[in-house]
Amino acid sequence: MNTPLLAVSGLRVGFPAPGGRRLVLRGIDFEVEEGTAYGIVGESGCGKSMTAHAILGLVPPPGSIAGGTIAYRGQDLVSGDPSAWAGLRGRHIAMVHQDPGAALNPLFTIGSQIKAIMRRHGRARSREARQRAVSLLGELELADPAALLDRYPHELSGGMQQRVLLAMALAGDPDLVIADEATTALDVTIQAQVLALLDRLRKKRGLTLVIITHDLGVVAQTCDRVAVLYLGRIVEEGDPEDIFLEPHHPYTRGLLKARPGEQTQRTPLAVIPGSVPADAANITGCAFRERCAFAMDSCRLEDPAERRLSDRHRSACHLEGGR
Amino acid sequence: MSGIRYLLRRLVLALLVMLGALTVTFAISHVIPGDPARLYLGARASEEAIVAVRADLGLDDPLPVQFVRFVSNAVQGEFGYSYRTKRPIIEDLAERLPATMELVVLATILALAVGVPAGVLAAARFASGFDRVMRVVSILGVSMPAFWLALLLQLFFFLWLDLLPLGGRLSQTTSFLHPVTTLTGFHLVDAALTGNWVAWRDAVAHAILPVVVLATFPVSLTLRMTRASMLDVLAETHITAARAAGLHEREILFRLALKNAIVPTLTVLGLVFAFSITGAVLIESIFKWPGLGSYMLDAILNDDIPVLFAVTLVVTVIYIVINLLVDLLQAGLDPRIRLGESSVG
Repeated sequence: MNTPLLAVSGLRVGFPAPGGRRLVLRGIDFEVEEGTAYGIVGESGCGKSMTAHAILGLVPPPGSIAGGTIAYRGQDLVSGDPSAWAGLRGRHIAMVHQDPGAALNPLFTIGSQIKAIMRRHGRARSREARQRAVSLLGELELADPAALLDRYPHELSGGMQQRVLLAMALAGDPDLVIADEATTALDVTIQAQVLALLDRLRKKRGLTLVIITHDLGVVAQTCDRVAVLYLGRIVEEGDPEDIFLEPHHPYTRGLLKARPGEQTQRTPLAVIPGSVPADAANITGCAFRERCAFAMDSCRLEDPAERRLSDRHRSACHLEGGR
Repeated sequence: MSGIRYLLRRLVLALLVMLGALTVTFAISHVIPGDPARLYLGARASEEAIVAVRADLGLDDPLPVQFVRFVSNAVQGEFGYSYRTKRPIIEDLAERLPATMELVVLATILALAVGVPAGVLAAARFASGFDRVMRVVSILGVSMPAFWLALLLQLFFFLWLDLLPLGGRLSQTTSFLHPVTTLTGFHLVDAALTGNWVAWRDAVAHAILPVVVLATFPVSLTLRMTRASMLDVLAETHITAARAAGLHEREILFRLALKNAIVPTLTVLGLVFAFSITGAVLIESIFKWPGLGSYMLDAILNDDIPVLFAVTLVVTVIYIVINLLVDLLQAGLDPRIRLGESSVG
């Protein structure tokens, strides 16, 4: 088996808190094969964005990586030279942020923002940069790309801004693109367009994608592998068929039940009872047990270890076989 | 398109404010007690002389006529004669204003050249040793009384170290042997333009202490403002996005973030520039700097009303012009301002 493009193992990220460190990522393991799309799903505050920023080495201070490895093409970045990690950003690993309105600098034209990234990564000299930026925006199916270069972010619609952000991520010609809730701010039709575009770009450019979202529909449409994240831990991972057709972890099942599309009558939407605990560190046993309908004594005593359900399907739950 | 409309709107607005300032000044001159003719001639003037001067100064004309004359004179720089020196005020201003502007402009350049980069670096190294030192220094700078700092510096650099002169714009020897030819009124510029390096060095030595004292407040305030707005900007998503795109930290700080952070800082800098002109009153007195401040102080002490009005008008005009420049500069930096919305908070 060849080395995965990205291999995250035992990743822990913590923030200083009274009486020690509070972990927001509590040991994350996953691997992304080159050329595939990997989906990370979870609700707000589960550590999705933190995972994305950690991969880029951009955990916001005062937080820091507390342990584990992040290997890109087999090279661990956490223990390696920080400048090597910095050298990957934009050029090998790029990121598309959520909320395109906030992720574009309001005082610079679209052109100057894209060209700055191209110049930085030696993808174009100043003279060709404009031409390359035009063709990149064209590739993202934006109308009249040449005129767009001289416009400011606030003059663009949300969908256009999102495509510009994608263009900026691709400006350094990276291999891996992390899309952090990249379609969340868009309305549904635009969202579908952007997802389809992302998929075409992946095939055309041979990109590897990590798609972070709270929307299971997005994952179903685009991903080859899916991880479900709860409170800084991957509780279930598998192929989309595993996750959608044979979910094992009660949290995954709750998420699937809570999708509005599943309902045909005007019945109240299914919800997962309770809310995400504020502090995972103080929980003994399984972090989900207080919201779990199947909680048993063993759930209170020990955090469930990961179990292989099949070759490509794993879950961190004490339940045997589920249901 | 929107840029030109914005420019025109700002210009019209500035003219209206100026007209308002003229109206208020004119109104005050007619409300304050005391007969200008009597003030002009002094306490022991005869009634006939006073009547003659009243007619001469046009004080008997109807108010609207006087107002129109006042405005048209002011526009042409005809501020009348000083009661005290009996010289045309405009001639006094031509000597005094450049001297003050020299101090204020240098102080503002210092604020930009020192305050802004120090603020950027303090924000970039938030909570570091450098940031802590900058915070202490800048809070001292904004709260320290200028006269106290001035005396302290004089004590240190003149009396103890004997490095810098006590006051004045040039030493007397230099004025005699190497007089500065007046071109712009700025000694430093004039001496450099005429290649008079002996006078230039002397002028620099004389300017250092007053400029440092005058600049302490603007530099400290600019530092604090830049630091605060840089901290806001650095927390924004587009900065994280720029980092994720692998851009150099230098480019992120001084190009991407600073352009955002400088917009609110410029507002403060503009106000401080205008404020420094009045702030110079005290500092010019301490350093015997023959500028607008000491001129105004003499006028206040001698009831020299026309001079006070002239100085008030000049300072008002400078205020308006500076604020106009700041507005235009900000609109140039932030395209959203050109739309006429104040989307920058």
